Amino acid sequence: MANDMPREFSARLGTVESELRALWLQAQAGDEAAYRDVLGRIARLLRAYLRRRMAGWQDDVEDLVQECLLALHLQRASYDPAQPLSAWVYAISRHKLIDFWRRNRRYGALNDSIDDVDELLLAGEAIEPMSHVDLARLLSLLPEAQRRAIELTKLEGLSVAEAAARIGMTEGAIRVQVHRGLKRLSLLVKVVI
Amino acid sequence: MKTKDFIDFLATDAGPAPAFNVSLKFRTALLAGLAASLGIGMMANGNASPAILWVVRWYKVAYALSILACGWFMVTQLARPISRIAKPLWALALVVLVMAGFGVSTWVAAPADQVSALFLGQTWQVCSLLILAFSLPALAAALWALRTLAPTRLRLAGFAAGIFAGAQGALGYAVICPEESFLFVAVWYTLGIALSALLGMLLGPKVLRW
Repeated sequence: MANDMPREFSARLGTVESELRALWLQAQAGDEAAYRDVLGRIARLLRAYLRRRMAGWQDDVEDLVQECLLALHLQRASYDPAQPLSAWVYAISRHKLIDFWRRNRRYGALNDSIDDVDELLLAGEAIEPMSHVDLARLLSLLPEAQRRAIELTKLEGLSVAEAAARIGMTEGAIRVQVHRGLKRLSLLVKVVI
Repeated sequence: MKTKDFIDFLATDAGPAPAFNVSLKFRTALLAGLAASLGIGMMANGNASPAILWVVRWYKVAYALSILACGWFMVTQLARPISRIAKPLWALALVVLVMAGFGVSTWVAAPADQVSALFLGQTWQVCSLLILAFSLPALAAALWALRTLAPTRLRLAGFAAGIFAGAQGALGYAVICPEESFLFVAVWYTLGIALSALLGMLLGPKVLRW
């Protein structure tokens, strides 16, 4: 698997991989700061990876970066610590990229030349790009219980325990609602953007 | 929305990663698939006693179980983004080849006037299709299990689910199968399982997207 990995992932694989993996394992264990950090690093890798493969669709790159991040989050249980993290990230991102082309009926685009990508785009990291994702609008499309659980824990900054006390649910039920809500968001993102 | 804000949104209160229990999901699917397939077989036989299993030809059971094992290792691997399936795939090829070898040796050893009886039996027209039919509940269960996990090679995952389910179908069908030749099993059982695999391959990219 590592042999056919794209260069954004395999370049400097040794150091990048060991740093990312260490952070990721901390995040898996529940370390929120490590999770923020590692998702940020992965986002940069993803941006470079997707920009090269979405020539002519640069406007959609950031949407897909976020879609991939959401997919990584939802499927983070599927990471096996015995495997390289970058290979796992790449497998999921590739899956999402193929899904993107399928939605946009541009199968051939997978084979587009990468020469027309402006190299400056690849290098530039000055401005944090924006996606078309409108979180407030997406959330408004969720069922009430899922939306409330997500708003309380993820936007208002309550802990899961506080949120559970606020709406009279168990902590487990809150987590289930959040997970279901995010899962539904990942479907809505495809339709709405 | 800025990606940094989106990451904040994802990470806040994320908690530890949940467990990813592949084998539990597929054990459940296997239980459901086998219950359905053996259940149909015993009902069709009009004999609900498990004792019926003892008269089933051993090579049919051995063939189905070997393929079932290969299917298990493939499908549980393909339920994850990174999967290694070379070994079970080779094992599957080996199992099919060994059975084909038994089939051919039956063919070679048989008197010329009996070859077509050994090859076609009395039920060749329905055998493969019935195996496919017997495997449908198992296929549905295996695809359900995959849907709750994270396959990224959808066609292959569908194929593996089809092999896994086809072997369960063959096991149930063996209960009512009247044929008694290696050659028959090597051809028509294999075809039935292959049909299930083909169906899985066609369904995979459609039903396993996430």
